[in-house]
Amino acid sequence: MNATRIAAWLTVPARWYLGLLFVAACLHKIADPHSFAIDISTYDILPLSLVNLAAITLPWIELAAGAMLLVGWRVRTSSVLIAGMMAVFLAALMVALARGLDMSCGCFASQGADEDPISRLTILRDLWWLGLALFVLVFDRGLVGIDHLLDRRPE
Amino acid sequence: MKWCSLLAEAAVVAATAAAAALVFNTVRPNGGLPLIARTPYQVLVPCPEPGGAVQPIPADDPALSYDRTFLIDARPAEEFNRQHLPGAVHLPYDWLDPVPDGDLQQLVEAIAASGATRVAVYGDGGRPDNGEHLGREISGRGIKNVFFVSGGAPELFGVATP
Amino acid sequence: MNRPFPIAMIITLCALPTWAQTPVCEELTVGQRRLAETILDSEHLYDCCDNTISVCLATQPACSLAERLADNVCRRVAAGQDEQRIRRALSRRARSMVGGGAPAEIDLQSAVVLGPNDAPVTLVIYACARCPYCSRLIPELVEAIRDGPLQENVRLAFRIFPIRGHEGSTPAGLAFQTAADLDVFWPFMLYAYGHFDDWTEEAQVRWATEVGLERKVFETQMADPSTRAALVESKKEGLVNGVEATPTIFINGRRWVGDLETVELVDGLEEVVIRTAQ
Repeated sequence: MNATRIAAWLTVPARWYLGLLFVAACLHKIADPHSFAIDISTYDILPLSLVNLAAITLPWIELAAGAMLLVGWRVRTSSVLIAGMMAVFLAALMVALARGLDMSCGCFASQGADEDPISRLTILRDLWWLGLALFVLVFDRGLVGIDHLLDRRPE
Repeated sequence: MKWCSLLAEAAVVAATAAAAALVFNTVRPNGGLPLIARTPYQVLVPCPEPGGAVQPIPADDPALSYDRTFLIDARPAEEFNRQHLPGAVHLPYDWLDPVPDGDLQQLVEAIAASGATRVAVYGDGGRPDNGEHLGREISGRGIKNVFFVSGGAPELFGVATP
Repeated sequence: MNRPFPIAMIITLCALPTWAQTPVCEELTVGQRRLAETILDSEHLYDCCDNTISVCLATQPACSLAERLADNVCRRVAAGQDEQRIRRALSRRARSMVGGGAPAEIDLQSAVVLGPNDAPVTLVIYACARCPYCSRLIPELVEAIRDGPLQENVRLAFRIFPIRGHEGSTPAGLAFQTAADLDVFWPFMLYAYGHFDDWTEEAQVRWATEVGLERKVFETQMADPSTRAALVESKKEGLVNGVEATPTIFINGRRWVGDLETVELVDGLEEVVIRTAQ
């Protein structure tokens, strides 16, 4: 077993972790798009005209990518999507922190701000997830999951 | 798989998911969002004064002399030094600045070490009562089972605080 | 007893064309009118007419409160608010106008006051200098009152209520109190809220110079123990009056629990002015 092979096996739990994370995270956003729209507005980056579109579509993209990762179908594609989304969230986070947006003061309507106020720790956490997604993207060999069942051979 | 086709496929997945999202938004029972928001969202709310729940107890409550009750005196030093309940810890309440993190941590440890099951704070019984407000502050910062003595020191010691 | 029913129906039928005559309601689309109608036909006035808003609009002479509330409802419908939210807002407004209990004790001698001393209506604001909501609402509200038709009848008062543990609330509150002691409160407060995002302890001293104070004078006054004592008194008064969040507003000693929006507050103030004049 060389390093690449080990890495390939490690992508499996990584995929399940990321997949579950994203599917779990997006459910409440689908259930309550209005709250999610308020969360997005709090960052004050998107113009008002785009906020609703983002609030409606983003959770479904998370759901699709997360589900695809979980079942191991088109893993490269879904990990690219997840990595892309994480990069966007990170950028938004860094802009917000640079502006001094202190969400822990309780002065924001956003539920997310109350429960999960942004901080440097949030950036580290998101970097970790971005790293995981890139890891899966690079090292996945389709060893477990639907890709494996369909292709029956690594790329 | 080449990068171009990878990105293209990702775009297709995203677009399909987005389309599904828009369809769901239109047909969902309790109404989805309008596609373009017209009025800005109310992002800010009035800033809440932090604090937790506290229950008042009367000054003659026997629980005040139990071992399992941790006593805190919220009054300034001179009043504490003049007279205080035996065993009461002195934690003067400042109306503007919260209890420093270090002091709060020490308090938490002291309560844990004493094995107390409830915390009773008493102040000067004034309007507002610093005992009640110190109780609210520590309750809001994680200390459980906090009570305050109704009427504060004047009720406890039977004399009006000069 | 079947008699009242046809009479009520006739009155309601007569009310239907009448309610559309308030200017705001006339602008509504057909769908919006249906919602407004539903609400106006079922919400009751809390003063001057003992019936639903629609019926009161129809009776002659029409109660001005009926027109005011109808405009309020139609404005909200036009803004896209849903039925539940509108009804709750009406209920909170009613509580603000006729809520029971003793008026709050507010020391207007120590407060910073703007406006005629013999004004029949006093609006007191408890606010924290580092509260973002306050920084949006208060300048707008102050300008609407001070520069608008309410200026003769409404006196503004400000009480500083620093939110505990809020970053900078104490130094910024001290600065507000200092500005009040040095008689430049309103310009300083407006400047500070206008530059809310740029606050630092150093910046606020610079702001003091922008509104005409000398640095040394400001810093000395701010360090004076009487300034902190005054700030503490202001905070304690707020706590006694049940202030739990900023901004909290009292109109003639009665706490406002309606929407904290300029348009809503101005509307409420107009109503109170009319009522105190009667």
